[in-house]
Amino acid sequence: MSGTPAAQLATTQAAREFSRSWFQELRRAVIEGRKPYVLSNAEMPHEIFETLGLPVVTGEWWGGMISAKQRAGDYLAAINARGFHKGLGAYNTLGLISTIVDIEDPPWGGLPPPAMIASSHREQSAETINSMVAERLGVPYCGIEMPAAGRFNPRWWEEIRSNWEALYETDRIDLLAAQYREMIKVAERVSGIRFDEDALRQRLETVNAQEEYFDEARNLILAAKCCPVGISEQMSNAMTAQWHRGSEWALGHARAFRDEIAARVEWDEGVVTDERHRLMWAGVGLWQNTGFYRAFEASHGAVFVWSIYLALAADAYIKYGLDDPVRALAARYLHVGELAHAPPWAGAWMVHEAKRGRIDGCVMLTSPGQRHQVAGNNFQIQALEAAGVPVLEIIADPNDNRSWDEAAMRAKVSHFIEERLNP
Amino acid sequence: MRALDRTRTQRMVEGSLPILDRQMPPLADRHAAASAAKAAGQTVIGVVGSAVPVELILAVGAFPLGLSALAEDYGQSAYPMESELDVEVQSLFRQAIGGHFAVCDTIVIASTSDGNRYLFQYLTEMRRTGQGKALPAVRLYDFLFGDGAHVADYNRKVVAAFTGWLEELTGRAITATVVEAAIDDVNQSRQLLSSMRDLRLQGSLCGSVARDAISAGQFLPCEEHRSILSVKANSEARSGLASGLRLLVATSASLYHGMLHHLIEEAGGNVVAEDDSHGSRFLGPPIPAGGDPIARLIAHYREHDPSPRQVAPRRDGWLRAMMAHPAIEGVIFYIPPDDQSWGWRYPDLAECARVAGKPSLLLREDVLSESGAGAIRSACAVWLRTCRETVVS
Repeated sequence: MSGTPAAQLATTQAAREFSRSWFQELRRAVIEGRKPYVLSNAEMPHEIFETLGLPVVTGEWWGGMISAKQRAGDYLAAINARGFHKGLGAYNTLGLISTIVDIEDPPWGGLPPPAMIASSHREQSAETINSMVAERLGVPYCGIEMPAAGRFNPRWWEEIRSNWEALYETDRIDLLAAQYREMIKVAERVSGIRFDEDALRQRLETVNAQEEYFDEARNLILAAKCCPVGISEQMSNAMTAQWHRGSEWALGHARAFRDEIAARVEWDEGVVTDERHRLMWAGVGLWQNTGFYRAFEASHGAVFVWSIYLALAADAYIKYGLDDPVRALAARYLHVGELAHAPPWAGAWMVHEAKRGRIDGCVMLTSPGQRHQVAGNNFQIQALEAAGVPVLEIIADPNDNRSWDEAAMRAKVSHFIEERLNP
Repeated sequence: MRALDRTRTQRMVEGSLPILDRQMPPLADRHAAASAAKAAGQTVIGVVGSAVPVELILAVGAFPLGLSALAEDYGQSAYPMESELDVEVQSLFRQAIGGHFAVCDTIVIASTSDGNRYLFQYLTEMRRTGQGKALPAVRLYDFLFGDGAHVADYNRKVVAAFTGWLEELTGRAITATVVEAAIDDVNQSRQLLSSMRDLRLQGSLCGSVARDAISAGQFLPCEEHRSILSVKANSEARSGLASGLRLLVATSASLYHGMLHHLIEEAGGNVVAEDDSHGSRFLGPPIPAGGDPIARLIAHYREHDPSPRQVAPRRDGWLRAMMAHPAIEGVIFYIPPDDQSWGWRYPDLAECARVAGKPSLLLREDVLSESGAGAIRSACAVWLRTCRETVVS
């Protein structure tokens, strides 16, 4: 290992700059040029909209951005003042509700009104809030009914790329695909462009190539002698490309990210010079405090090596067999979020990843305000602990920093490392 | 918040039915009828979720047993289910892994709420890993409410698979004739329930008594349930409490217990309708005759089931119509602290009540906690006094 800790990746800075300039250009085009765009949640086939010339803003991304700017509280206070109570989860809704309330000096000028809202109905609140916001904005809403899984293959990652038809069952894939085709008709009206299936297929081939780079990057990180890049940078690089997946920029970015990591691995460059503990972060990102992941590097030699974001890009997005690209997309989105939460999918996968990555311990973020992010946590803990990976559960809101206690959280994780991970 | 002690909870849940003592089985033994059916050789199918078509279960001669949460389970989670999940689902999970549903040959869970989906995942995993005692097999009934031909087509496949499974389970064929007979049977109950709804709106029945009588239909055979409903419809059970202000309850939490009704009655109100499958929405209106019986079943449950995943226009349609009903004198919004989704509907629905000229009260405490019950009782008393004064003035 080299004597100095690795500096920030060049791709990290590039991702940040791309996000900001892309958004400013979109904002200008929407406000000045009346360009239509789609506001969508994450578990949706953005590629369809992009193929139709409709840029997509992902609600969770915008919500995370608001949180990173420490402005979530302002939006939530504004929405509470309108009669929506404080217990309504912000994670999936913050970006969305920012379009119906005004705050002073919004981040990056704020999100302009979309031309269309689209969302999968993974949680029962999705239809309510998305249709309500669409109605208030006077724009069309496309909601996708999500069938529930009736069977669960614990080792799903072995089947999901090529054998997705058998893994997820034909009827359920058909249902999602049919709804996507109905959505395409609405999007065609919004964009004024006719849907081109070949163009979608081509885009999905690019997505596959992009995710293959992420797969290589993930594998390099897990196998490396010392962790070459922390999860904060993994997340920002993976997710910036994910929000623009299938674009030439995203493909090039994923390749550059892989290359930078490969170079670091070759030279044994690590995040810290004295890596003593390798951690995984379970659950969604702590968007309101992304510096927290690095708080234990200097004091404990503890590095967060793994989070769901890069790993899901690698394992859940690639779909081979693109004869019918709409069906391939349907297979991708049937359970992409649940793979990281529901039993036995999440626990078995995390154990598999932990073993590959020589993980010593896991910190799990539990956000009681987002029930879908709590459900399944205990099964994950069971699975990891049984595999010899101690787990610390911390309770916090990923977006809203108003009740975050930095000192108490640091003490809790430090205690966990000292008491449970020290040999 | 501390949970109510068991004795107090039992008293409030069970002791509320002095008029029904002769007609109703003890609520503590909700599975008595199912046990008797099983002893007589019937297949017992536990049902979670109001969208499961009980007619199809009856059509194969099986006994549909509605599995219900218990008020006394409040505050008690059962590992590995997280304590942050719905109170109702936690109780069902706790009972399931504790062997309390052993009377069931199998359990069918409708995917019509997030909680039910979690329950299915958890019970499936418990069986896969050999955890939980005497846990029956579980089956998902993946019924969806969205509009469009594709969802309708998917639902047809789901119902066809369910039908095939029932036939295999019981060895009995589901023909149009037996489904029609089952629809007729349940429709007789629906007719009586409809009469009871009218009586309630007239202020002729005590809400808590009515709710308990209605919800008994989950664990009694249709005919036995009808005998209870008939008694109510013939007004034997009319009570002095029925003279309170006639209230509609809009609720984010399932009212599988009568606690809220009792507290409202103690404060001087009378719940004459509730947007809940344990009360006014139980079974929905009678299914019209004519046409393919399976198609009519699908249409009925899609249109009238009040589950949390029901689509907004149909879900709120019933509530909005009731708010406008001339018999309704006030609206209580019951949104306990664990709500994470219903609250998105509240401002629009509160506005709807206001436009309809109906006073409304928002309750944010949990009626199952001791402190919450006290706060709700006080809030209702103050609000009802104000309402009455307004009416008088």
